[in-house]
Amino acid sequence: MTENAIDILLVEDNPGDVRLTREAMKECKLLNNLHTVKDGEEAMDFLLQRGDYKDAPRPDLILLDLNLPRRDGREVLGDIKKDDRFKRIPVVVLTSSNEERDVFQSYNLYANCYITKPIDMEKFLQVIQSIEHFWLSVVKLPNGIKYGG
Amino acid sequence: MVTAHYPGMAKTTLYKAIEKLGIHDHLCLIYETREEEMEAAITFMKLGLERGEKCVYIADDNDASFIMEMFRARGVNVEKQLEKGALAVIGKRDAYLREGDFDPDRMIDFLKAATDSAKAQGFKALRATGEMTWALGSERGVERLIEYESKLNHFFPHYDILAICQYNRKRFPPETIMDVIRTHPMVIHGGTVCRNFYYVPTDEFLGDRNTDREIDRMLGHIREREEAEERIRQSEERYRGVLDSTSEGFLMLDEHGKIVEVNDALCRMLGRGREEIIGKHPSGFMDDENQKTFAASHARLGTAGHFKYEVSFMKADGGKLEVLISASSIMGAFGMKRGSFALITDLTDLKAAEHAVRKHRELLDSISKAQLMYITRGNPKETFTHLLESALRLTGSEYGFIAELMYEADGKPFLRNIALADISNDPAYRAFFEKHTSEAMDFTNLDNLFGIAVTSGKTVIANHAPHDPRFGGRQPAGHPPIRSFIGIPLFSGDILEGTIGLANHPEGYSETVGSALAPLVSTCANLIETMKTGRKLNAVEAERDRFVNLSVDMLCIVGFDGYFKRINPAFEKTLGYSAEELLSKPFISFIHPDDRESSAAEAAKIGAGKPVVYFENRYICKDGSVKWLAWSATPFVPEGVMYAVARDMTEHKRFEHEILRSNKELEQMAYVASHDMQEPLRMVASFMQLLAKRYKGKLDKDADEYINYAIEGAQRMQALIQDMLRYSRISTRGVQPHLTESEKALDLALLNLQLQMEDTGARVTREPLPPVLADANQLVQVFQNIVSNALKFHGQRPPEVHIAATRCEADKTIEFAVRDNGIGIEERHAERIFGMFQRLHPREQYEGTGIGLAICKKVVERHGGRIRVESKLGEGSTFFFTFPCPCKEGT
Repeated sequence: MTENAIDILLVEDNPGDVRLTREAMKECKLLNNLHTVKDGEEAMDFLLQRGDYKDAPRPDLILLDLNLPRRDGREVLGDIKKDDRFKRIPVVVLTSSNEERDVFQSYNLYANCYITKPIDMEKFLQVIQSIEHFWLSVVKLPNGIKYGG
Repeated sequence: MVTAHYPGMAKTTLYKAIEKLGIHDHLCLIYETREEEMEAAITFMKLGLERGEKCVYIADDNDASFIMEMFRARGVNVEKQLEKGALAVIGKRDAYLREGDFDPDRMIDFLKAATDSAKAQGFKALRATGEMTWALGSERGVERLIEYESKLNHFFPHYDILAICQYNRKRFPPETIMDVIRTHPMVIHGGTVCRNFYYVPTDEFLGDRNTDREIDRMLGHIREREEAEERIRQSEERYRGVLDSTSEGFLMLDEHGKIVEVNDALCRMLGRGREEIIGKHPSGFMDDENQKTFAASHARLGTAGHFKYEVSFMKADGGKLEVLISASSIMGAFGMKRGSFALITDLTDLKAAEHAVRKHRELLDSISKAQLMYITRGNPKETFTHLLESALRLTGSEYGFIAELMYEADGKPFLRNIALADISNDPAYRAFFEKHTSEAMDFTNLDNLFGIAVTSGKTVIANHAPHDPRFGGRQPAGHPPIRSFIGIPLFSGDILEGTIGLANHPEGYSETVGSALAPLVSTCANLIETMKTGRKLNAVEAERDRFVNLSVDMLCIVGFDGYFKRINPAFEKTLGYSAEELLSKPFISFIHPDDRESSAAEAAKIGAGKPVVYFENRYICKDGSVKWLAWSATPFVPEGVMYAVARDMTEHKRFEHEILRSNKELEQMAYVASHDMQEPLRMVASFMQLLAKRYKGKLDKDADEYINYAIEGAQRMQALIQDMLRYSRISTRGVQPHLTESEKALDLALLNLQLQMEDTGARVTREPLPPVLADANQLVQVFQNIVSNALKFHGQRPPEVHIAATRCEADKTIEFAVRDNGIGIEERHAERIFGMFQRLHPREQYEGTGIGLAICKKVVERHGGRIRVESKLGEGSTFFFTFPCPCKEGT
């Protein structure tokens, strides 16, 4: 892991998507550490630095799938946004669902943005790169996020 | 006329004569017996009391107490009259011999004073009678009695006085009686008041006798008498004439009841000569029974004065003469009957008419009874038997039958016996009739006496039946012999309904029997017709009942009172309650508690006269289970009922629910499947693309081609899944149809297709489109898909699309027509194209998954509409589809 790199937490159970995200990240300009967890439980463990994730860094950006085994993405989103320690971390819901209901619900739970995974691979890559660019270069976030906590 | 004085007795001739006496009359009563004396004197006094006159009885021979008893016996309240001063019973010493001796002038003065005093007391007159027996004594002045009597005639005309002087014929010397007669203008004798021919006026009597005048008077009297006799003769002749010319009979009987007079009419009636009748008792012309009637009636006549009664005489020829006797008694003196006379009316014609009327009434009674019987009890056998028995009685027949004319299937007529009766009471035949009354008897052979009335349509009479050539056939065993017979056809209007046959009138039958029975005969015919109609109705009713009973739907009549009136067996079968249970409680109590309110509201609507086409509610069955019923009901307000049909929808509901659930499940599955299938597919596609991106040209040519196919396949699969999702969302995402502007929907669809339209150079035209009831988005989709197809399958020419709409009144829909000039579709594919993922062309030629029209079909059907295509290959297609018209909802 690169020391000064940005920490991105990808909560995604589909290894294919993990790999695609990783491929996309490779082409990114920013130095980043992509951490992946496979379900909601692990996501919470990661954030709370529990179990295997005792030394897990606090992520700068969370990419969250909604349909996850064990603990659902919606629950994870709710927990994050309820927790004062994590609620300011931008959470990008990245899912294959384009259900109105899911979009609505996510924003209700204070998701920072909702993105449907493009079916086309080229577009997918572009989307991932634009997420990174937007949230980590364009957006001004409160101080201390990176090192705070 | 019965008077109050003689209760129960007629006025005697004497009474009537005394009644005619008035003021100024001076009479002598020449009597022989005391009864005779009292009869006249007391009657005279009593009439005076009644007229408000002062009545003075001067008694002598009789005690005052006896006199008063006589008054009482004749109904006079003696005490009251004495008290009023109206009646006085005095003795000779109070009158004739007041001063010891008799003096005519003093006596007259006394009478004058008494008259004045009576008048002063308010009486109308003085009425006096005196027993003159005192004059038989040797009182002084008694020799002047006749002078007194004569002088009274001078005084009486000037005073309101009248009097009777009583002389006993036997006790006074004849010379005195003669003088008495000559000194009284009127004489009562033998119960008769007579004008006195021998009266001599006072002046003449007391003065010199004038022979000339006496002769004149005598001649006058002789003439008068002759004239009087002549008048009587003439009067008698007149009466005789009247009596002989009248058609009424006349009889006069003497006091012994012997006939003393009879008129010609009665002689004619009796068929006897006058000489045969005179001197006989009327009962001599009567039989024993009538003699008794006559004797009893005659006795009553004795007391009543008038009496009317009916009696029968025997005529000379032995026949009976029924008469009405109107008898009056002739009263003699002292209420003694002197005889009687009678008017006799021949009742023969009247009796005959009465008999006919009675028979006719009996006939009509029997008819009305039969009709009532038929209506109230509906028992044809009983009714016809009653009619038949009436006919037998009225015609004097022994037995008979009524038969209905029926037809076999092949049209052959036969008679079915509907009534058989026997009133002969012959035990030998009783069994025969009893046996045959209980079972139906058909006569297929009409070629005999019983059938002729039917085959000819005319009344048939056979008075020597056994020898009649028409008799034909044999009688069933045990049938009583037929001597005479009448068969009458029964016509109801022009239609022959059967026949009535009567047998064994002792004197045979005539046509008049038939006409006399006419009302009964036509009643029989009408009742047979009614019975036939009834049978037809019964058949119709039975047929209807069979349907009603067969129906699995619940049929009922419900009263507005909230109770079932009639229910069919389906009710019991469906709900498990017995009919009794269902009819005994208000129907609402069988309804599920949650549905009672709505059901009551619905019932109220029907009660107000509105039919209900469809209404669902739940009933609780006897076993506690719940049944869904769908109702349709229509009221019949005049009878306060509704007719309702219910169908058990429980299974249907369950099914519907099941289908809904399974549909939902299917949709869920389609959604989940397409959704979850996306993920792996996206992996395949994405990594294939990644592979192509990173390794294109680095592997060999074949590898590149394989990769291309894999990518293409994955992309197509993605398109299919997307379409499946869209398809399933028609129902999951659809909204309730609402008023939608078709024009706007089309605008939107065309806007979405703008690029395509520009690319193809299409021309889209339209007619005005009416609003419809639709899910607006889905309507847009339908327009878009169909127009898009038109743009896509356009062939060589640039596409021309025309959109029109027509209103279909029959089912209240709007039918849209989208016509294009494209490549068209073969007839045989017209159905297939609406199937899911159905394509008619290779992908290389026309891209697309084949979901467009399937979506259109699903949308249209979801709106209750139809979609179809009319097309000619190479010339173009027209797609027709319907959406509900808003007018359907009344908007």
